[in-house]
Amino acid sequence: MLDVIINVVILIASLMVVIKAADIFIENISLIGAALGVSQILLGVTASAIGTSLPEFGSALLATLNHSSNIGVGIVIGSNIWNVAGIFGITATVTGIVKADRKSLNRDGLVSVVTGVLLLFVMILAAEFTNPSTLSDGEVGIISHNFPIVVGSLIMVLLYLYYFRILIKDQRKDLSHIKERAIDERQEIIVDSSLMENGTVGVEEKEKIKLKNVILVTVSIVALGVACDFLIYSATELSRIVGIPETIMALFTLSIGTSIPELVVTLSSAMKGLHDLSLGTIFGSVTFNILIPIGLLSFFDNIHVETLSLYFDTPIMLLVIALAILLFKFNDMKLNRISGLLLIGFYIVYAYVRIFFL
Amino acid sequence: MNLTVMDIFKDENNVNFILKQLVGVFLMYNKILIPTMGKYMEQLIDHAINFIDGRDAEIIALYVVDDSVPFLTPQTVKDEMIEELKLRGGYFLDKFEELIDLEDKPNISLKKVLKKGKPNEIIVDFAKEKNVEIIILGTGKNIIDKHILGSVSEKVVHHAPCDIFLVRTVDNEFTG
Repeated sequence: MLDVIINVVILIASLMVVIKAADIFIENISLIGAALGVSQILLGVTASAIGTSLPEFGSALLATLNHSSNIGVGIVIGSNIWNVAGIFGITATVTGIVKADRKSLNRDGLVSVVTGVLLLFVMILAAEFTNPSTLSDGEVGIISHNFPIVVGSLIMVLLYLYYFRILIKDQRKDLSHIKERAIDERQEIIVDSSLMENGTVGVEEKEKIKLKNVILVTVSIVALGVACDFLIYSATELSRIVGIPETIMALFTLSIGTSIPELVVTLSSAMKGLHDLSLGTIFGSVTFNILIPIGLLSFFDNIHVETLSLYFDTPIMLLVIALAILLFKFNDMKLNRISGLLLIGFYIVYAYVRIFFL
Repeated sequence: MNLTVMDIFKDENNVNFILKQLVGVFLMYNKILIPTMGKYMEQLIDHAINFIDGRDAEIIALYVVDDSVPFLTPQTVKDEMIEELKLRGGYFLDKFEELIDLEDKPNISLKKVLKKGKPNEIIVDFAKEKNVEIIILGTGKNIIDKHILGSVSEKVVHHAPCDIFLVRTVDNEFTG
């Protein structure tokens, strides 16, 4: 019993450190990037596209490096199902409405679906081109360096780079529109001094690199690594002690835990009416979670794919993404409370079936 | 023609005119605060103009950038939210000015103010600081949303330093 309590405490504490360290890392790396003259647009898109997904990436990376790639895959797929069904569901139920801009939904939603299909395709390649004698019980294939599996992984990384380029291009367009409006219409507004400190969108401020930022980046990346290691360690220990399969631990406990930033960002931005941010956070995370942790990590180490990941979890992930997009499309580009409850119901049924029947 | 007092009161138009004059005499609001979140601005403006009724008056349109975020929200995302809300606030305040149509109403002077903080607290503090005479607010969210999310107007009603006019509003959002 004491073992369980200790490991639960380690799990929660390391999760908090992972999330906070990722936040400090992104904030300070952005400041250093700005000092080095990296464009604000590039930094902004990087921060919002990768910032909330860093905990998932860190834990998937550490799991893979510790040869527990089933945990890594579980975190990735579990996070995506939770992001779309759980977080969209909770947000729509609490706020009553999550709106989508048609262009953003078409872009980010479509990329998420394509990404999911690509993952499924790479998994099938792994199943087809892996020597069965190298597989353990419950495994269907290994995403390895072997041809043609490696081609699939390469396409995953390239797709992410292409998607990133589109995000930057769109952001540039939005920004030029905002700047025009700001100059034309904002002159007579009395702006509180506290808001002036916030800086102005698109203004390229070049300052010197501060030692504090360098130290914080170094400390946060070390803390992120160490905390991810503790997180994976405590999760595997808990699985062993309580007798829960590691994949279940990854699919639910770790993925929900590492998705806390997505939950708080999506919920609070929807409450403030910043629906673009809500939508971008979820679909951006879904895309990043698949393409980078699996695509990129497969170049460093073999990623073992479990049979259930290929035949159940990944298809469910694709299904829930498609369901969310359809709910938006058939409800005037909005998710209402009923849609929210439907998504939550979907997640509960998935979790129940996955934990108790498979 | 013999016109009695009762005859005057029989005509509904006369009654309305008298009531309006009485309201004008007793409630001469010259400094009106209208906090806006971009919704039902037309309705709020209509009521303000009715209150002013051609007299000289100042309207202050206030948009509060709500900077509260839950624990564990990444700092970069918080900054992005504030920046986006700041732009949105500017857009709504400009829209507010457009709807008031100042060229057609030279008796009204308009101040557009953008502040940051908790909306209910900022509205109350601002009303105190600027000696506002009346705050015109919308009733805001429906009953379910009020229970789940809370209501700025309800909080302001309890702490405002001046009179409040609560307009029963329907959703009509201007999106930026």
